[in-house]
Amino acid sequence: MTLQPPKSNTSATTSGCFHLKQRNVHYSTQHKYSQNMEVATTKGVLSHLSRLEVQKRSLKSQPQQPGGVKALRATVEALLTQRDQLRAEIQTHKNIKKLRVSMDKQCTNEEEETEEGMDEDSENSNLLRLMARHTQLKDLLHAHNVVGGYNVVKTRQGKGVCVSVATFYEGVYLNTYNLEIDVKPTVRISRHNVPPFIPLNNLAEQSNMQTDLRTLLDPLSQHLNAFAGRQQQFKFVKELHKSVEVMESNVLCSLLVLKFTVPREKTAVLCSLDYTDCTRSLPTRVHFESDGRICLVQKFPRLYITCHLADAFIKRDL
Amino acid sequence: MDDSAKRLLQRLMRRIPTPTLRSALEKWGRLTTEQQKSMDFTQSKWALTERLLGICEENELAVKQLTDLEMIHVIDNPDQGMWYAFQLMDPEDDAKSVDLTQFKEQFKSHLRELVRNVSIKMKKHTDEAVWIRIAWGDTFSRPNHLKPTYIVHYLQTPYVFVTSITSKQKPLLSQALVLSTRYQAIKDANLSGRKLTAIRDLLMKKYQQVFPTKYPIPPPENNQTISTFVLLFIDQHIEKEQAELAANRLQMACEAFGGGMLPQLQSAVYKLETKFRDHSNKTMTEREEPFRCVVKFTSTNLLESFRHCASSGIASTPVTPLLSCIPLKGRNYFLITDNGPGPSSQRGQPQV
Repeated sequence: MTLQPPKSNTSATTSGCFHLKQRNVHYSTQHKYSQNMEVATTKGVLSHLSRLEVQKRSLKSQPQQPGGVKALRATVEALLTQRDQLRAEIQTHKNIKKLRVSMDKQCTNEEEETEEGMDEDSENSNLLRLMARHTQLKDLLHAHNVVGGYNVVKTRQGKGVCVSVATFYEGVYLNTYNLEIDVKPTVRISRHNVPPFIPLNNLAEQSNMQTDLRTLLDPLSQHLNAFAGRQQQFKFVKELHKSVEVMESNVLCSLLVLKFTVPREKTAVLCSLDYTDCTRSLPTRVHFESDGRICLVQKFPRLYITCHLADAFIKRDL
Repeated sequence: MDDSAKRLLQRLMRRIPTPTLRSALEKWGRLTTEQQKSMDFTQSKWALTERLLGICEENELAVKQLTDLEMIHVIDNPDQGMWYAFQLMDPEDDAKSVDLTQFKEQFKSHLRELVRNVSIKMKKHTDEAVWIRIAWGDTFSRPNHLKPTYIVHYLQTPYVFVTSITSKQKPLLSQALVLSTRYQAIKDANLSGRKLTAIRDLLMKKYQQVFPTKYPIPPPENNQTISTFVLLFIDQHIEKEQAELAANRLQMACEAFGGGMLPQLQSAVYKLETKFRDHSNKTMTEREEPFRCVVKFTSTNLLESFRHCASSGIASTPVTPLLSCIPLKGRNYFLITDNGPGPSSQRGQPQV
């Protein structure tokens, strides 16, 4: 099962189901009014007046009151049930809020077991608990997005944090890198498992991490994700295209030289990919060479620069 | 074949054990299939050496081809000899775009400028490591192939691993490395060991590290065998009571040293320069010179031993920074001095 990488800027929206019901009520009365107006204009004013007269006479003969009263009573009942429903929803929201307060407290003090006495029966209280948990998770997700999507854990009684930077490529999660950072007295990286070819010290020096940790984490995440992307592309090319020979590569996957044969002409072509910008997983320069001279194949370089390595190889074969 | 080639071959045959000899010869590719078949690997080493000598004379192989064979053997068996780690400092802007061809050319030209007669061989291994073999000579003598230096470097990383180098050769090698990798300086990383793979994995962070999470790691499986044995003698209730404490200790031990398989370091050396602090012994406390002592830990797998000490409670947790800085800083040689201002200071903070 593959997890989806986090999307940015999703704000939680609450659904208001009772709003819909109100609109429905409005709609039905409006419809009746417009219908009457239509009838009046098409048939002429005098005929309308005569019809009203007939209606009045029939009203006098018929016991109009019970029918009207019935309809009114029905509407009164409908409105009463609606009011009860709304009242119940308000009560639920209040209960959920109370539950949330106790739930949040439970999360921070893990030893305490505060049980809020619920007046409802157990089924209702379970449902309420679920709804409260749902809102709690939505808030957590929102906070997570605000932090920039990094998992942060408090360590050493609040004197430090451990930040996890996840890497992914094309929807598949790859390695996770961790940084243990001291917060007091100054912000300082104490331990990490970032490989040495990622310039972490440089990024730390150039960042503003004493005031905003994200000035370090965002460029670091860029570097790590770009590296993960390049590494995956390289792996795919090696696995999917066995005819491609790797002439040169490095641990950072930033300088690659591949040899492949053009299928129809059977000539060997040397393809050099230069990823000078280490924050990107697309090459900055692609160079083709065949029999010691530079290829005149002009459409290929654009292909390699705009799409990823393995895809480019597939497109080339077609 | 001249004498030096014969001596080199004999030395090689002494160095290469018979089980790995066949694969090394195949990779070398200098023997024809009949010659390969004619080598009887059940014979004694001496007999094999003689046979190989004969084959090399048939094929007119010289020192150059024999050094290929040596390099193949060393690359496939890197965990022999003593390896020392060095760290390159202050990269220039173009350090990260140094490619293999440029590095090779620059290194060879710089080293040849510094040393008259030197034989350099460079080979790229499949795991992106660049292997360099240097046979040193000087103005008057030819390169000595019986005592070569081997160097391993991964491009775009600041680490270099070296074996079998003398103090006279070190500055020459350092200069050539610094210039060809486009860094500004090189220093001793204070990490050494018999296994290249271990010190490489430690510096390149290729082993599994453990970080604080909300959910501590479950205890490893081998603990179960120990606990079932111990249960015969210890009450099960005690085990249950101690379970949480044991889990905490294990978590702290793994955070300090790592989880899973750890790089196999063999020793750690602490050189202490401190002041004698027992006031009942005036002669010792009144010495001007610092009190020197050396503490050395040795083991077949030092980090594993430390981790087990911490997780079983022999060493107190949280793990002291003196021990946990071995994997943290990637070094196993430490010089610890006092921070205090004079011989009469009461509190000296150990400074690493």
